[in-house]
Amino acid sequence: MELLTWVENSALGTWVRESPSAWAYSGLISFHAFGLAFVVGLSWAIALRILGFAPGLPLAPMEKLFPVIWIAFWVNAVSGALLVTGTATNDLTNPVFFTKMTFVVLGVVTVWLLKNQVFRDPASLNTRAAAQKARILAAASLACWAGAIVAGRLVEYPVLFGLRKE
Amino acid sequence: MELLGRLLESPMLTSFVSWSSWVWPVCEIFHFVGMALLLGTVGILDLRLLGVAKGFPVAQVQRLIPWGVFGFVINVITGIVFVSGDPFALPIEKLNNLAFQLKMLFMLIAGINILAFYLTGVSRAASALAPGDNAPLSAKVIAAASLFLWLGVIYFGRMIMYVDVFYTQF
Repeated sequence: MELLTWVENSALGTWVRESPSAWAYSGLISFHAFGLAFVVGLSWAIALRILGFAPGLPLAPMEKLFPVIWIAFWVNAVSGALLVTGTATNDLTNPVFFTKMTFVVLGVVTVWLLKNQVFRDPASLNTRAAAQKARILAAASLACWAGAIVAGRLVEYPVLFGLRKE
Repeated sequence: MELLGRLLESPMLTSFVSWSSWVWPVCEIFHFVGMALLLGTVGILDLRLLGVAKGFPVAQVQRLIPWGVFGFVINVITGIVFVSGDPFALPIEKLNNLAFQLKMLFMLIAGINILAFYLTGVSRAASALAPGDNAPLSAKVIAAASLFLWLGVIYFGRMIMYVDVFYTQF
């Protein structure tokens, strides 16, 4: 807890939270929304395609979307880390925040697995076992990112769970 | 503006929001889901036209657009709740919020951009693009504008809560 207080009161944490600069809290949270839209939006599009929507859309070119997802992910990792320095004593003691982070980590793992297993050889999806595995991964990815959005929004409402917001 | 503010007042929505402390956060969750659906699908089309993932035949990418429209509809509905159902602020306060005004302006221009895409034949030309084909400049300009405008909509949407920043900045 002392560490969290130190982080929050550090020059960086104070700047993030209190600076009137358009790059501080409000700018960081905007970049966090840009990244969310692309990470989740593109991951969902890939997952929906694998689950059978838009079957006319060829799967293989979707591989080119992964670099965009990773860029958007890093935008969010950096903006998210900076935001947390400003509100460390709240976030890092909030179980809803850790729920969100769990979903994010699982979401990243599912996207990584889709990229490295399914897209290494999209033609293999013609075999029944591989297609089944891909669908399970896609459904898991869809669900993890949905969970990340739900928990991410609820981070700001710990009172809903009887948790105190300081 | 005052009249529009009056028209947007909805005691019914306000009491619906007040009914449970879950209503507002759940609407926010759906607003983010709608945003991801819209940016995910429209974003793929824009990226394809700009030359990322050129392996897609454009006509097939356009079949994702109904998902984006679905996301947009979710956001219009939840957006109306935020404007008309806020128990702590009248609609006029949102209408007078500079960030909200800029968000609406960017949405309007994004709408005009969509009309330009579909009504000037650019969409038809784009649909004919086979895997690997370069999009014409007109399509690239519209695609770049679309990405810029929707990111602007997100930005000003987030800034509604932090609108004071605009006044201390400029």
